[in-house]
Amino acid sequence: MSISAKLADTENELVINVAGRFDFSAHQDFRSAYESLENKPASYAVDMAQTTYLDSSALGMLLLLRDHAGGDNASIRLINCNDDVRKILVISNFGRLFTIQ
Amino acid sequence: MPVIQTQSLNSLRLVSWLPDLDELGELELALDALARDAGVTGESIGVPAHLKHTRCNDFSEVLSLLDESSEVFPNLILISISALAPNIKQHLDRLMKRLDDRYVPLVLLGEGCSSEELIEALENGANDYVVLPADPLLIKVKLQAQLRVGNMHSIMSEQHREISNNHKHILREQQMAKEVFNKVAHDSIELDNITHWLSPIAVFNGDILLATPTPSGSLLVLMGDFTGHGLGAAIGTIPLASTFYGMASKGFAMYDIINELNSKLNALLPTGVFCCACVAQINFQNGIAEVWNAGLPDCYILRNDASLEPIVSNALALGILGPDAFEVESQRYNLTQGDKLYLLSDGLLETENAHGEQYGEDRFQSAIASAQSLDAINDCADGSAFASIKQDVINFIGSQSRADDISLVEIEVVSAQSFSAMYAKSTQKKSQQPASWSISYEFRVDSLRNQDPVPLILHSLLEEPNLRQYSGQLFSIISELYNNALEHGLLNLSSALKEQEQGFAKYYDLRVKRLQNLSDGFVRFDIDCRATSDSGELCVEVIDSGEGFDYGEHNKQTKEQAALHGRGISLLHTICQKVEYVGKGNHVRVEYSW
Repeated sequence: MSISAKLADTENELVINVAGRFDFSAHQDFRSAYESLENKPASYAVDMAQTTYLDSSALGMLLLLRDHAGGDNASIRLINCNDDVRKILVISNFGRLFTIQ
Repeated sequence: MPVIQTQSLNSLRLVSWLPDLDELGELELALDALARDAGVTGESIGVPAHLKHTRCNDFSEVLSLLDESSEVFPNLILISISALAPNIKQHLDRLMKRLDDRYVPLVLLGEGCSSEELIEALENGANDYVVLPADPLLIKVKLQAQLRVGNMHSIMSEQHREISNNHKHILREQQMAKEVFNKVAHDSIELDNITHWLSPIAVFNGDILLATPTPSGSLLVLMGDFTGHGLGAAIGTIPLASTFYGMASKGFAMYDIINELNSKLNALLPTGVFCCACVAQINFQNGIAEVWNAGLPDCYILRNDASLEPIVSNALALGILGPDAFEVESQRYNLTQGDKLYLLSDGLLETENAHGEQYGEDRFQSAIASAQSLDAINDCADGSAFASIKQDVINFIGSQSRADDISLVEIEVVSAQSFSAMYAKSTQKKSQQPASWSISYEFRVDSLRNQDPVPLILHSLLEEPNLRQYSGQLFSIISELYNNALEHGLLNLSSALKEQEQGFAKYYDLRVKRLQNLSDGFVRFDIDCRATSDSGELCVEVIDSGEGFDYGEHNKQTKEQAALHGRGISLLHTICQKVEYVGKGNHVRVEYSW
């Protein structure tokens, strides 16, 4: 598992890249990826192109990010999800809370 | 385990046995220097204050100082090689045995000793040696190095002891919490048409299965899976289970129960902890199942004709959304006797075999299918189908893998009669004492507007053990009586409205509006109960503050005639031995006996 984050060119979107298994072991790194920013960006994207697996604690971490980003007003895209990851997101109905792409 | 005191470098407890060494001047100098380095030099006689040097006269004295009770248990042992020779190994074996798992550095001193002797000593427990004569400084640093190792060892032992004590403590607490968890999460499922497989929990897997008959005679089941593992996952089960059982037994609707479970978990649990769940309510009377799947994998209905219908999750898990944003949309299925409902958590599908393959949906579906054909051959549902599904999973994961995260439940649709027999069987526990009591409730306008009094009344009725097995009928009686008193008595709604096109909707719109505008009024229940274990009589009188009505013919009606009127009244006639109106029609009296 490795987490990296960078601001997109416009500096308005923080893209968090999660590689490998997205589970509880990612907790600290995932959190600090967005908490360490001085200014909150307008929106967030979690890039899961390299995410192999997602468990329910990862869903919990996404909810924490959503809270941090403003709860119901948060703008968060979950991008490049593979089929397995997408399936878990769909079962959990996370499409209601996040934009899944 | 012996207590190991933490040693420090400035406390030197030396035990020596040096019988045949004459020239010990260098050693004494080294020991003095060692003590001085530690800054503990004695003032008057040149003996370091924290140097305790015990000189032994024979080997058994050395051994005795290594007893656990020894007051001068050393942190360094010095012995001359020649004293041990020629039986170096035997001596050292005895010494090591006495030390057991305690570590005290042993340094040997020798004059003109052979390599063979030194090798034998080092191979059998000695840590270092000094060949005399030697530079006192060299002796000093060698001893210091050994003291450092000994010190490090004792610190590690101490930490290890602390960790292992903490670990034992945690295990004890977890054991205790696990007992509570098991009671809360998995107890009470003793109905014959429910078969389940819940893995023996490694610590806590956060899975929960709750099932209870409702007062209206349906079965309410919840399979839940909390985020994560361990105590964090298990902690939510307690409010979940108590709310579920509490509300179900009082006759709350599935919709209300799910809403309350969500609000409760949303309020109690931190963000990021939630509970994926599937809730099903099966009405055996009309064969309708309401199912709500929120985040669990597809659950299944296996029909008699072997078709398999998935119940797909269509909601966010419990505890994520606040009460305002949360909505329950359940899915409705028509079932017939012999159909089966399977609820499962993702642990079953994700369980892996030795090659790292997951069991998965496809295997599970074919396991259900072959279980169905097994049932067809046996022509009976005796749990063998469920056992074959279970066996299929066990065969897949093989012997090495652990099946500690598996929750699967099968609910068979049976006739309403068999279900109430099963319920009666599961509640036949305590002997029931005769009882005689009466109780009275008056609900005034604020309560009528904001609360549903039916669960409250029902709850107090079901406190009476003699009445519990009739909860279905009691629920109908109380709710019909209450609705009649409220809708017709206080709100002046006419059932005739319901016969019009879209009358039902109009009727209920009007009900809401008039109830909101109601400024005064009451509904009173007077309940009288006389019961023994096998017979009894319950008399319920309901008086409302309304106008009443001309019931003239009502009281003379036979059951057949009553059926022509409102369904509520006809239902009451079916259940109760006597239904009569009194006074101006705002007062009804029913008798129910068994």
